[in-house]
Amino acid sequence: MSLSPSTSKMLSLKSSDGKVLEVEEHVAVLCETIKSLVEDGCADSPIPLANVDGATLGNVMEWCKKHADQKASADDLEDWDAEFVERDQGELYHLIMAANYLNIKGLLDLICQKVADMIKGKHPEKIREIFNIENDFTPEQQEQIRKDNSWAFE
Amino acid sequence: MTSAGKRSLHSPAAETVAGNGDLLSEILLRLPVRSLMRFESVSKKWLSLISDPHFAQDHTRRHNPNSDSSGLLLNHNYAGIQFIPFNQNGGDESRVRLSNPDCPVIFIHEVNEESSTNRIDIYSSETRSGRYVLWKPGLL
Repeated sequence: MSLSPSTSKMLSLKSSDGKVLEVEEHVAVLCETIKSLVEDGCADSPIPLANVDGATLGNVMEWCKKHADQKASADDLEDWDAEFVERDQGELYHLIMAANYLNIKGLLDLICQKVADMIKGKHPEKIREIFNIENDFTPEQQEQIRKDNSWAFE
Repeated sequence: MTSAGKRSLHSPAAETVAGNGDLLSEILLRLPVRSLMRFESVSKKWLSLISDPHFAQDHTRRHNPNSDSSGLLLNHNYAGIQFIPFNQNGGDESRVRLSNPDCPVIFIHEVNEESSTNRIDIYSSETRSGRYVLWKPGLL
């Protein structure tokens, strides 16, 4: 029996909001979490993914499908990835959580790098806004840290 | 690929990611040192994560895969930042000889531990004494 992509069997994945996605097995196993289930013979249909919503699951599988494509060259993938990360910030953070939960290192690396590039050089106050973080320093502590790191603010 | 509607600065998902220490580290590890130094003043949690010696080690390994894991970040005249690995044969507790093809040998005359964070003041024997940043706290 051949396991080539054309005859790859289909897996059903069920998102946290009840959406079911049919995905070729050779694509879905890019998620280490799903791969383990398949290898252990626990991949009963549909596989429930309690921490990933339908929209995010669709985005994740779009990435997996591209990266499972044997014909895609490294340059090709790099260009494709660069476009893939051009999306709403909220979607990026959902992708980070999904990539972490599904254990897809390549996708986690990609999105974390994108977020790092987005926040690089920003003022701490802006960072607090983005991540909804409370400034829990006293004004004196704040001043001391700023003084210690003054060169980084120039 | 963008969702409909106005982009809002803050998303609940961003808050969740930043609340997860492992994921936050994954992001911060990919930042340049200057940004990390700025972000130490975001919150106590960020300060503690960024000033953690293990974090510094992981960061150095990621950004300087070929260098020894210890060294100094020199901020020459507040213009450029340079990572200088310690010369393993040259140092003791208070004097560390640094050598680098791009800059003259520098002797550290004084090392003042200033706070619990990973910064010290270092004065070089050259005329260009000043503030340098130690990025590998475990080694002095």
